[in-house]
Amino acid sequence: MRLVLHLVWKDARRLRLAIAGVAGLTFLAIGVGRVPEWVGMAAPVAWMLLAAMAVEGDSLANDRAWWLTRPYGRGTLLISKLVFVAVFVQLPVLGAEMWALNRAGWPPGSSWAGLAVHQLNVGCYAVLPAMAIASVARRAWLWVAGVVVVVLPAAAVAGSESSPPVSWVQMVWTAVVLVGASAAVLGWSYATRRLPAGRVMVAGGAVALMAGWHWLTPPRVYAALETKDFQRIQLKIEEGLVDVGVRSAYLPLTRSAEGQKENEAALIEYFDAEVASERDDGPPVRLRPMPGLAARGLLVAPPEMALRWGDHPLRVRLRAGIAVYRIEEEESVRRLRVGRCRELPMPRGNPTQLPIECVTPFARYEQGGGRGALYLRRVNAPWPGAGSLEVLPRTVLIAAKGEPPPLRRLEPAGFVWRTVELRGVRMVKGGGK
Amino acid sequence: MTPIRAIGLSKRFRKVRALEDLELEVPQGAVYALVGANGAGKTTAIKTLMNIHAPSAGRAEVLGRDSRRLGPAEFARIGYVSENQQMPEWMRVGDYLDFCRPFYPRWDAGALVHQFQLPLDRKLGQLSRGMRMKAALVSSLAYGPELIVLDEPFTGLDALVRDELIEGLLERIEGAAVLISSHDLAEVETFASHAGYLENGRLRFSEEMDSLGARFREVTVTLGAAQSAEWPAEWLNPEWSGPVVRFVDSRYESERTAERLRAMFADIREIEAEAMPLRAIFVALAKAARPGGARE
Repeated sequence: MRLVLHLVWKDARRLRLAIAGVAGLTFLAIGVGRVPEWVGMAAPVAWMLLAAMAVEGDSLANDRAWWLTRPYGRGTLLISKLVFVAVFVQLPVLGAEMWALNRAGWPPGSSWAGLAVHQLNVGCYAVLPAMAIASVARRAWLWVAGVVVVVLPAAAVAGSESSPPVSWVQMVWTAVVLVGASAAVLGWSYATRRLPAGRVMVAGGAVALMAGWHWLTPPRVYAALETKDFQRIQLKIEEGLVDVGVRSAYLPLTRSAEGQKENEAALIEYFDAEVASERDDGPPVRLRPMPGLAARGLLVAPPEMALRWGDHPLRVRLRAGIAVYRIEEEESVRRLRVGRCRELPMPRGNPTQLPIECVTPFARYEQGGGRGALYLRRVNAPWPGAGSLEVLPRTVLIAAKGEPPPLRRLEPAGFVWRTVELRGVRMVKGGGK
Repeated sequence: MTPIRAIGLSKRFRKVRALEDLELEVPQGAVYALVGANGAGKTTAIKTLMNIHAPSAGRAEVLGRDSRRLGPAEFARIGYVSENQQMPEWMRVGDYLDFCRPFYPRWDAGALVHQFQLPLDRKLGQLSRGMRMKAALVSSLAYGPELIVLDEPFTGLDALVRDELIEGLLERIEGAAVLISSHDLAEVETFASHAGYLENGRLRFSEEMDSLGARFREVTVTLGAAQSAEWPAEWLNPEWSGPVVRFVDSRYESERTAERLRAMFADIREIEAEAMPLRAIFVALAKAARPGGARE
């Protein structure tokens, strides 16, 4: 261990400026929140660069490297690199997130699971792949090429909220392939220094990622306003993949206040959805009204929420969620995007100071005025693991033009049983009751 | 235990055969000079022995261990310095030596630092080439290695620095085996006990310096008139100048060479044989290896 720390200290001294820069960028991107978007995008790139620089400092690919004939094993060297990134990449991220949470009135201790997930994400999607590619890249441009080919698309897909939606299967696949391939490449390279085989592994990982994304893409789920006054929104799922029909799927929206113009006004919004299935082996689904409270554009909702399968009161363990509530280009369109549904305490103090949490490698906390946040409070928890009420909008809700198309037999895979996925909500001014 | 022993060691880089069937033995206490032209395979041989490159075929033992399995325990007993080694240029000399210290139980760099007058507070990247080599040598001699491997350590250094390096090296190699590749044959000749000549990846000869010096002679034969004759392969680089022919005999034995000359030429007036320095031997071999050159 003393040897490992000796090597870590050596790298820390060599990269002290880079470490300071990355730490500053991390706190700026995560802790401060309201910064230009490029700062948020630059932070993961900086983490990857720092991890790669640590590996490159004792390069495996360079046969002129001075350390090759020094008496420390490559296993020790690998451990020292992992310790380095844990201390100088992962720890600053953790610190910045805890600081941001605390500043927003969320006790970091109550969010340990989310913080751990973030740590894993940073490790899986950024640090480990960057280290693995650096271990087999002979030159800097090869590392850049490897990152562009493997890591950035994976991270972009994992962080994507656009159509087609990324399923949890794809997320898991991406994480497993990235971690597995990275671990294999690092282990092999440091054990043998046979780098051509390591490069083949990197290429294999890239192919596995792409194949996985191709084969695991979920069916798209759409919704459309059912009527011209936009009071009801229909859900439907990509055609052609159906084996079960959705008889009547609608999600009426009502508004009880003037809306966003009134900065200080409270706004109650109700969401209601009912999805009935003709499927024999499952009860129909109905979403009860979900009132939401908004202030200054912040939607705090809903005190009650339940998912029903017809008459079966299968209450979904909706715990807490934070959503982006964003005004799109078209003023009448709002889009709901929920980053995560997890157990969090109600915020202290001003609820409009809620941060927005996303679980992607490009995650950042935003705050200030609370614009664009939706808080879904925990309700009942009838069974463990039911917390994935993904009222979380994975479904794209699109405004109907004229009469909506007739519903056909639809594939409910996107919201079967315990999951209803909504990607966004479109509303038209004055469309409510 | 023989510090270095290579048996049929070969290394290929794709289609290029950099080293072929190297049979090499560096005895304990020997200073073995590995010489050869640029691209002959000296650096490849050393890097393969040091487990920097994996051999394509054959094997080698270094300090009694398979070269492919050299690890921290062996490297703690090996001092390695290479002309093209990339040093941690961001480190100050003192920091570099401090960094190396914990890896070696017998570390003592004080006297060497003093002897080489190393500026401890300057960064390695700011040092002259000579100073960098001195720093590298100090970091590789400070723990009294049993095996010292030096790859072209004197390339590009002025005579004064070379002398200082050699002096410092010789003071600290007692009992250790040294493998040194160098173009600076005049310097190597002063302290090497063995020499091996690599040509196109193959070891042409490997022997003690004494026997090497004994068997190479530059022979000048003065004839009564210009004559032609069939030329033995071991007589290298014949040059005719009227009735005088000069060549390098790579297997010189006074009586035998004279006898063969008399058998070849009817009218020999004079035969002179001069001992050759290592550099002249090396040049003669290199010239002979060129296309069209007579070779051993």
